[in-house]
Amino acid sequence: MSPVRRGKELPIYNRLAVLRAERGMSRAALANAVEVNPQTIGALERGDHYPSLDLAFRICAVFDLPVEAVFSREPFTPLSTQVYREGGA
Amino acid sequence: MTEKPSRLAAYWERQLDKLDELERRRAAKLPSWRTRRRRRRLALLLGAADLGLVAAAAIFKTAPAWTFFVLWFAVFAVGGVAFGLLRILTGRMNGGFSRLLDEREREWRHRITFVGYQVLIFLMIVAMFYAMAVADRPEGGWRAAMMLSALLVTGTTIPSIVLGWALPDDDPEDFEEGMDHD
Repeated sequence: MSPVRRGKELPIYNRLAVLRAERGMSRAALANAVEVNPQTIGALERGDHYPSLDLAFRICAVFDLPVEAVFSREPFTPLSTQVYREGGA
Repeated sequence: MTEKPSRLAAYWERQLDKLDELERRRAAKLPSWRTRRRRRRLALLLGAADLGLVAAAAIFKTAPAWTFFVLWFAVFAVGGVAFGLLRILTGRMNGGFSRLLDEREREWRHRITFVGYQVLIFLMIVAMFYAMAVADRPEGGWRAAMMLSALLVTGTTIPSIVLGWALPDDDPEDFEEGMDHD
């Protein structure tokens, strides 16, 4: 349960777990990089907490990606599907 | 003139660092107890101890003195242990300074302190009516004071009870350090 009422109509999805896995980064390491508790990264990944704009920018800076590559209003398609579809395979 | 504030600020920073270290050590304690089920049991135990305190205050000066003292100190001991354990198991959101919390923890802190504040207001109104009800009875002042104490203690434990009840199970992955293979 999150202490904040989350929008059911406009949820925020993120790719944190995939991006961490790609870079071999633990939750603790990402948490350390953006100066939050590791449990907050877990809550973000589970969708129990939506990040502030400041935290979202800090996370994007760690992965060197734009915000729309990490957070979205729509569910992300799996990266492998996206890569192979765009590659024409 | 400028030295004093900077010394004070440096002292405050050192204190925050110490508190941060203390909270880190606490976060590693009782790992097998960090489940929602255990936290909820402790929250219920603390709530029961609060009710025991109120019951003891209600019989103060009307029942034999030993009955009051046995009940009062027994529930104080049980409640104290439950409160201490919940304090450890719920982490810095329950007691640390706001500066040590991140945004998610601050949201939790805001929620539990607001609920605690609302419940405390209600309990103080109950204490006020109780004081009016016993005002003209023998030892009315003592009885009102004891009930006020019991309800005040109850109100101050509400944030811990709410947090202990609402926090989910800890996710073991949150505490894994490894994974780096670059």
